[in-house]
Amino acid sequence: MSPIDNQASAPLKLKLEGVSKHFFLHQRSDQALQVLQNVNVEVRAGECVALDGSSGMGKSSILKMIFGNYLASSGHIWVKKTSDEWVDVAHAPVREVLQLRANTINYVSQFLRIIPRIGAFDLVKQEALFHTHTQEMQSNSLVSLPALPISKASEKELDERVAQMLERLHIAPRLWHLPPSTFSGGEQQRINLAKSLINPKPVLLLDEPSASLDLTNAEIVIDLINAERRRGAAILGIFHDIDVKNALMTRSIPMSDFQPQL
Amino acid sequence: MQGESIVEHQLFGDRNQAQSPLLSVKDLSKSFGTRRALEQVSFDVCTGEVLAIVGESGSGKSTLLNCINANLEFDHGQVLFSSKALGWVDMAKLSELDQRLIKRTEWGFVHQNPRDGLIMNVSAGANIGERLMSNGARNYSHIRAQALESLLEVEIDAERLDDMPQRFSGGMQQRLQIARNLVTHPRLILMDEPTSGLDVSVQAKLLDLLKQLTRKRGLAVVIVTHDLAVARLLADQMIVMQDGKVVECGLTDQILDDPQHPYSQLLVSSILQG
Repeated sequence: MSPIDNQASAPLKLKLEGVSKHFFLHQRSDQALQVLQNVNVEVRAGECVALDGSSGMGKSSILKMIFGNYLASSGHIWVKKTSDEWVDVAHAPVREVLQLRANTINYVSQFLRIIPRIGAFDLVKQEALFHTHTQEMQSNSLVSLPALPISKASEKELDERVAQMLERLHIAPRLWHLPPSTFSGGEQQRINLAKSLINPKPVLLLDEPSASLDLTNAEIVIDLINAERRRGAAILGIFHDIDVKNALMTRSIPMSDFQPQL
Repeated sequence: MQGESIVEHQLFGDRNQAQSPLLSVKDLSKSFGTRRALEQVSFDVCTGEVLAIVGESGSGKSTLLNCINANLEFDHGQVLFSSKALGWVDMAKLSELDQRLIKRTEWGFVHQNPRDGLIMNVSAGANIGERLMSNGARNYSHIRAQALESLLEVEIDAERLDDMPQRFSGGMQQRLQIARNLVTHPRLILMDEPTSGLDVSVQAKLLDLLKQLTRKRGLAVVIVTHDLAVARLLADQMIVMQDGKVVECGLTDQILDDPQHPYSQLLVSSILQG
């Protein structure tokens, strides 16, 4: 089963069909909390779709369901895995979701969750390294993971790529080898972006990527995300800052469409 | 490395087919007298995956780990392992000799208390070397070189090779225990609360090390922990146990952020926000 792509324009990458979400709070005398109903969203390659609505309307919940972080209560969440294969995250086994995360979906949240000891540079480098590694593993069709086979030349190339990304995001070189837990909110936010965007993927989910950024840095982030979109990423995002939103989105969807009928 | 890969390829077939598990636990049940300690526990772990088993004390986590490691007999079920040396084996049906062979080479076990996994009155190097020697290694300089390599991999200085583990800090002892396991290049490591005896700052270092090792070496890990933050940092998948039963299983972050079962919700809501 897969969604129908009528090929109106660019290829469809993401499609939510009749998705709903409720939380069942067992600690609160089994109270059910209906959050979203009948969510229908399509995102094509090269689009940046903004979810429009005030806080508490379930915007983040939609992104989290697509990433498999929240379970959808009903409906389908189709993500295009390869040119002819779709995965329904709402019903996929755990390993399929992990594979989508490795190869298909980038999710940039507002928070940086990392091990406190690693420096910013290595953090981003590890993401790139691990990604190359996973891909190699899959293209070799091998289950076994050899010890990371990285030549001096490709390591140098990797270091340059990481340095470029950090420079582009205005992270001062004196910070590169410090753990980001000591950074300011804005710097952490940008490290978070660097971690994701070092491995470009077909689908990009953004949860307020410009929160806690000043004007200059917001512009840098806007440029980077727009470059991702032009490259062909299908982007679904939440942008509270109106200027950032206008600079990024190609269309928006009102969250009021998805509120449960009381 | 090349040769090994080819063997693995024959062993497991194509990755595009459903990935075959390295360890498969099926319907494991165990009672102590009339008390059910484990009830029909099942899960799979593939190469490169980290699975966390969480639950409060008495939920059966450690019993489960000890059953998998063939330290405890169980009443019903199977522990299946894809061994390089012996093929797809049912651990409980193996001779004691073959069980030991697998546990000494292809498996590792990291105890909560490093004293349970180390020989305290011989040097760090000898602790690591002992595992090689129990597998028949006899060339002294070879053993020493490999021991050193393992020591460096867990970030212990080379000059500590001849020191006694008593003289190591708790965190170093735990890393030494890991080095001892790593020296035979195991594919599966079972860990029982490996960080819970350590100071918070030392915990972070060990977690980072474990994360890197699992990624770099493509290790499969089954880790028992009551610390949900440890599970979040290390594990892709998680099972939640209560009274010997698996009440929820899935992606680690999904269970932590959107727990479904009443008991998982209780566990998650009991975390102190730091």
